[in-house]
Amino acid sequence: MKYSPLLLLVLTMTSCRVATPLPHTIVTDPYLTGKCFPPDRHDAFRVVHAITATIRGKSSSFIGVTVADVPADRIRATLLSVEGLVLLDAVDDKGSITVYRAMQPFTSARFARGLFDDIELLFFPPRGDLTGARIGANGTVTCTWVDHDHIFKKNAFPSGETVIKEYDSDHRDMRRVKLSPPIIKGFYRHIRMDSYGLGGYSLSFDLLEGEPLEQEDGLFSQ
Amino acid sequence: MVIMTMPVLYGAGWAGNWESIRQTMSQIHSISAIFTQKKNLRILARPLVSTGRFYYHAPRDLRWEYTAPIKNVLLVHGGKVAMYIWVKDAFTRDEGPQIEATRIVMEQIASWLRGNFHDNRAFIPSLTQGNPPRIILTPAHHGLRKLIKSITLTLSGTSGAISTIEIREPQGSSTVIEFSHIALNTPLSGTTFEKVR
Repeated sequence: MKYSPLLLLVLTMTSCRVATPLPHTIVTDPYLTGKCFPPDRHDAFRVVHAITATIRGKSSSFIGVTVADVPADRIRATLLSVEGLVLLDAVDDKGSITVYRAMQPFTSARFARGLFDDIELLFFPPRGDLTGARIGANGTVTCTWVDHDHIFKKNAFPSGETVIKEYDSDHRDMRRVKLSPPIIKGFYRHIRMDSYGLGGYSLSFDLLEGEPLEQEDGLFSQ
Repeated sequence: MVIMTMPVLYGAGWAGNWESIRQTMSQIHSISAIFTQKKNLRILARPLVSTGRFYYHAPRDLRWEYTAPIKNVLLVHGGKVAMYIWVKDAFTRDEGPQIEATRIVMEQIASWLRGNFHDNRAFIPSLTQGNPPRIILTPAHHGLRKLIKSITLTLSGTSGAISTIEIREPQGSSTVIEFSHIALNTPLSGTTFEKVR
């Protein structure tokens, strides 16, 4: 059976996870904790990106619309073709995914799961316990989270650039996100995400528009 | 996809019947136009606006070029479809899985451009008289109706051009394409449909 590159990308967006919790201690210093959770992040927002997905050197373009309510742990994601065709429209409500609309080959539950995992990494505070926090001599804030068998390390540089890396329990690279300023209305102008491993892929996000949401007005329902 | 690649109809003396449409379109050898596409989704605060250029050469060559906010070119030449996207300051071939669906849609569109609305089994056409007249294409099959409720082509009563294409989708979504600066039967470069430039 011959798979298209993007379909391979889709099928590999989720990975097997080893159920071995990592030992850790939790940072409780409120000053350091505050540095790791920037207060200017929007709780609820809508953002539109031009997305370029690349796997094995082959690229494809999309438009992504994301509506998120971080405290409620809800995301609605709509993936469009450049021509405006809705390829996928789905909601992740506390980990429970409902697909409202999907076209082949974007209909698989694995694709939706992978999509929401990527969105969470981009826009949500890392899951798990904050196990490390320090401020370097040059002002770089480095924070580490452990979520069961995953490690997230975030470096927020004085330049405004932020890099988030995800490792597995063996400290192998899983995903890397680079958020590049300028920051417009609280949203980074450019984001690049790389996923490593056998089905590695990269996603490039260019901000088209973004805004905080005061009321969700049924945006998560069909 | 169907929607954005819809052609521009034209014909002086538009009589508002199928025979007139076929007769008018058979006289069109080339079309060039500028388009504005507005995507409406319930979760958007305002329509997502894209702009670009459209070219057609009979019987089935197409160039559908988005210039903003994403650069993207769709070429149909000699029955083959190629898509290109702008990556790192250069066009590169789009290898996405939507290419096959695009090819099928392009075949349908080429049929419509020749005025053959009844040859397309995917949609049931109807012609609404009025000023301006409209062609409404309704999906014939349940599967397609899950994606598209209808496609409405609004014709210009004076020039015979299609001024607007509206694709209604489920859940209140729609795509509206407006054409302007339409030029008919003007010479087009031989590479328009072959090279992305």
